[in-house]
Amino acid sequence: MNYGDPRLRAMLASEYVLGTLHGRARRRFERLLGEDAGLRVTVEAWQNRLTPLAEALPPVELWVIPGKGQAPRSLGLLPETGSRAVALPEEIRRALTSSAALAISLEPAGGSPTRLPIGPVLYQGAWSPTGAARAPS
Amino acid sequence: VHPDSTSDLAPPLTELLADCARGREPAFARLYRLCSPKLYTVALRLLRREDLAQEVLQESFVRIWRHAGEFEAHKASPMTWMITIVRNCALDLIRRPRLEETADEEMMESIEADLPGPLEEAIRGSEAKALKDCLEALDRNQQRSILLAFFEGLTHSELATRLCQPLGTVKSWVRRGLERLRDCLEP
Repeated sequence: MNYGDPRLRAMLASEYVLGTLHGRARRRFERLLGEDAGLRVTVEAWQNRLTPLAEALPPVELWVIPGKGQAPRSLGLLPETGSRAVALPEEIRRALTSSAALAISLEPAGGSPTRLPIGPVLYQGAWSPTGAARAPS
Repeated sequence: VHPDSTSDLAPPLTELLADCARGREPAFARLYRLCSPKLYTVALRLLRREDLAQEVLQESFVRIWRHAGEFEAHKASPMTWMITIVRNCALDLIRRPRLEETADEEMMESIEADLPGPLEEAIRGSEAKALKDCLEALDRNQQRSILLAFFEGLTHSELATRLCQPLGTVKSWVRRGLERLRDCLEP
């Protein structure tokens, strides 16, 4: 590729920041960035254009769905970092079935104002009990 | 919640980064407390796996500590600089196979059906008014492609699969969308 072509440079810089430039092309572009101050300026301009989107991301909330067809129950906002043991209220524990699932959603700061998730579900997984999960906390 | 609002006494992030560059560990600890919630969310949104998001968060803070001296306040805000580090770190990882969807798909779909789409959600909370206006001015397909790529880290071919369109079409949506975005933001 001819990295001297200004249109190509502009395009690669924008797709690098967006994330669509990937794999070997991404690494090659990163090497080029190390040597090309002009290209770094173009990339920085794109970072300043697009990153405000990421800054606006709402926090994430943990939900448990006790069983198929049942309403999700909030286990609270996820901690900022590290792990957190979540005490499972007895009523939720009793409602758990073999098809229980966990979900994480994006919610407004402070958590969902309703008793149900209102943000998009980001992550979901089956509930798998372990010794630690069953032990009283 | 704005990271700076955690404590009224918190020094500005720029100052914390400058102290990190001087090797002052308390500044680093403070920076971590203030910024890790937001940065974790950025990583989790891209990776959709808590363990990987944690891994990326740790790796990103190692990079932030090591490269704090390279931060230049006139080029980007401290948060933009740190988010960029997290995104680059996450994008390196994201190309590995993703976690199998283990939950009952049907059940999850019924939950998701009632929710606003991720794209609408993403723009709704945005404080970046100019960016939001310019995104909204794009064609629907350009807008969707750009937001999906940005938030979910999809490649061109993943975008093509998701949007049920030929690769070339999707590539041109992304390219033209980005060009229009730039022109709109810099009239």
